[in-house]
Amino acid sequence: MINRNSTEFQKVSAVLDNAFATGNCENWKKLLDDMNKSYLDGFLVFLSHNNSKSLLKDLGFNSINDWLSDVENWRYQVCDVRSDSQGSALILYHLWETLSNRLKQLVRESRLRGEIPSSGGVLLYVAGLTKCIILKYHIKTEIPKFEIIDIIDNPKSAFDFWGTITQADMKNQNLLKEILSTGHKIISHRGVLIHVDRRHDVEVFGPSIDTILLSEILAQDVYESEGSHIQKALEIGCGNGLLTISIAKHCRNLEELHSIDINFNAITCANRNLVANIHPHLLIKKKVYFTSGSFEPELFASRFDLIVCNPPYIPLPTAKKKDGKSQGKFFQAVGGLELLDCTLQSLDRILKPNGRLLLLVSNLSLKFALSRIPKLYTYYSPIKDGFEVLFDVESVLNKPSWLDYLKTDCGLISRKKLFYHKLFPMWIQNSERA
Amino acid sequence: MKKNIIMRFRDLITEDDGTINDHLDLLTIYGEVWWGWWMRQYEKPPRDLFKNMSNQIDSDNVVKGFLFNTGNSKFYETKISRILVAPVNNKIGTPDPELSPSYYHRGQYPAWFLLTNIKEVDFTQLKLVYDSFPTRPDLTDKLNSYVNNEVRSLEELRNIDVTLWVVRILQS
Repeated sequence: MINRNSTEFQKVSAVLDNAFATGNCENWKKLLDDMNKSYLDGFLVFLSHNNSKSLLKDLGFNSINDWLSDVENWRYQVCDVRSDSQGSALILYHLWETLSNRLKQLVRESRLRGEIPSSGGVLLYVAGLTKCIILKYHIKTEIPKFEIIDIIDNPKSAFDFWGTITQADMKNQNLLKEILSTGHKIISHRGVLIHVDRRHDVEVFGPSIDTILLSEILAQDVYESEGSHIQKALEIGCGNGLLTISIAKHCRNLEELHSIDINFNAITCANRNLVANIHPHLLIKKKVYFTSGSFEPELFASRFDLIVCNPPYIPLPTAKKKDGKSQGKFFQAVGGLELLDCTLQSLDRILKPNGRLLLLVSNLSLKFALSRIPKLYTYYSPIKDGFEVLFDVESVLNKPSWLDYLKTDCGLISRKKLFYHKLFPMWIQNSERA
Repeated sequence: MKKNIIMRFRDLITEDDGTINDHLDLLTIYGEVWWGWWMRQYEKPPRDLFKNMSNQIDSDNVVKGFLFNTGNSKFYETKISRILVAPVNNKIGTPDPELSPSYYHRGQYPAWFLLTNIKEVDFTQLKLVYDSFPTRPDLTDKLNSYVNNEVRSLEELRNIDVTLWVVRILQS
């Protein structure tokens, strides 16, 4: 579980403490309901609390997954006036009500814009990235109806369905296959809904576990800590836009946000997701600029308080380096370390003296990245031992020589016919600030 | 004697008769429809009453209730087969968006009633007696004079400032 024990996490934990102690859940509900804090992860706070297991047990559930699997029936029971479900039970009631209502509104908005199909699946990431709740939705009226299909613990990739499919019962197997076959990838994390339409968003990267991980770090280290200081931000390589939208939505005093991607389709997709997630009147004060093209530090006239970048981090064997650029934009979004290097070497030009860069690096290229951090800058990783994820990049898996190179020279982990690598989100800042 | 409720409503969001027609449309398709009971800010959800009604539903499958459109003075008889009540000091969204008219979808209400029938009735053919006004415990003294008296007219009913009346049926 990623838990950075942020300032806001501590405050919400104290409110939860009080709810457990007094049985009065009003403040807990208010916090979860606060539309300005839709980045809060109530599951993380709840599951980190000492009393969470005993509450679940008191309510007759062995685990949070048990409760989630039955949550719609349980919700009806709570609302049966004879059950007198009060006190601590309402902690869980409000947790689910708030989250599901918010998700319903996000799905509704996307549907009203005609972007997502009338039925499909949403992957909802909660609890510090330790739970992926797979929801089937269908919209016959205006508001979607949800059904929880399964819960994946410690997901190793954004669409880590395979273990789930083999373990699920027949009905759920079919539902999971249905969701996978729609061609629409819809995920939600920390109050943002991202939709990628595989048929139209050609070569748009993700949604991947990489960006969800960065989104989690941003939520805990920025929005829950110092979000109010960010006025100007930049995302380099925005893909489907998860991080751009998350920053635009959750940085309270943001004035200007730039987002750049080499792929025009990615910009279209990110812009579409931006409009579906943030009401236009909220975007009047926060100016969001999208640029389609290669990242060049000279493109930006001013410097930024926050820069985020999930660059390609898979090193190329020498032979590949020569023909990398000829293999298309998606290939460039995956292989090679040029963008990573260019970002690091541009820091003096694009980062404010007290600004910070959040960069995602894999253990495959960690040495290189560390060697390229400019002298005046210092770094630290919020996840010291790295975050292990599935290595499922098809364009690499299809090339045995590249795969061999990564295994032998770069530390790609091989286990039971699958490959894994470790992600290291890194905060990089001027050493004087540190 | 069994107690029944009358719920107040008006076509504030829909066209004339739209509230009932929207519910009837869903009743025709699905055989049941959720009715969201709104209340005024100064009212309190009558939890004990709802408990008794839920118990009655368990034994009789449905309880009879009434809907009163104070805008056009139309009166409806309905059958209630389930009641969901928000936790204390809370409101809840529709239990099932497919079984509730669209104008409800973004709203939250203190209680929801699953109805299996709605039909307009001639109020003058009914004989109803006031039983209580549990949403306004603050007005007990003032409203006490109505208790055990016949509901004389829809005008009288309308003028009592509640959104839910408890009555007993003497004749239907």
